[in-house]
Amino acid sequence: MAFSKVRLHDDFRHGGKSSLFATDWPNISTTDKLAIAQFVSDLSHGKDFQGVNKESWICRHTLAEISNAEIYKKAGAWHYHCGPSYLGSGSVRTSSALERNLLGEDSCEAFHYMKINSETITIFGFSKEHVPFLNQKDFVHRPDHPFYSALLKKYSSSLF
Amino acid sequence: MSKKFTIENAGQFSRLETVNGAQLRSSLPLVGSFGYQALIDRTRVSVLDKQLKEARAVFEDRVQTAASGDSALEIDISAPISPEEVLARIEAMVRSKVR
Repeated sequence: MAFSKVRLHDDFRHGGKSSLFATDWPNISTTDKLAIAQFVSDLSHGKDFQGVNKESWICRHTLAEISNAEIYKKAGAWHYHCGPSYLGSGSVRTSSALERNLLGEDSCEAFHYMKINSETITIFGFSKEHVPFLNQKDFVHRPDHPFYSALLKKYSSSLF
Repeated sequence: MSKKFTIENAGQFSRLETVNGAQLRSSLPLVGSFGYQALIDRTRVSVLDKQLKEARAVFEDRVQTAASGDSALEIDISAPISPEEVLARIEAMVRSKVR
């Protein structure tokens, strides 16, 4: 499969979201824009990729379907860890066919996309910090939760 | 009404009050022996919580419309293209405001 077209979702291209978990194109930093552009360029060259690439409804640790991700499954939503803040832990590269690769390098940053057909992908979002599927019990204020404690260390001064 | 929370004005907040758009659910007094850092961390987590839920809602909305789109607003990568050219094309699309 060789992708030959990349679209940016209208709401992503023109949107105003600017949080850690959903940032639209106009609010993305130049560095992060370049990471996305590098991905598109590499795709055009048929190169492979260093980042993790996976379906958004699959748990990367158990490969089980995530219970509250039915919409992502129905739509066929994936995300790719595009860097640039790679953690240096990857051992397998993702081919330009964009198959599942759980052993690529992890990064905080990820963009969200759909394979529309055999030629086209549509990028519909970007997360400076990847959006995890937390259990409902984690959606209560727990600064000691590993996910939140890491973010607090990193962004405490900028949250308010 | 939401108001800015700072260490200096922490005593002005009452229980179950909305702080920076997120509801503070502490059942403990906000002044006195209760640690301010713990309070700040809990409030920051509630801000993150809110952002997380908003992002989920945004993405769930977009995946339902992502399959449609104007073919004129796509980047042709059937031939090799540089990152700089990709950026230039996207920025041109953004400037055009065409949907």
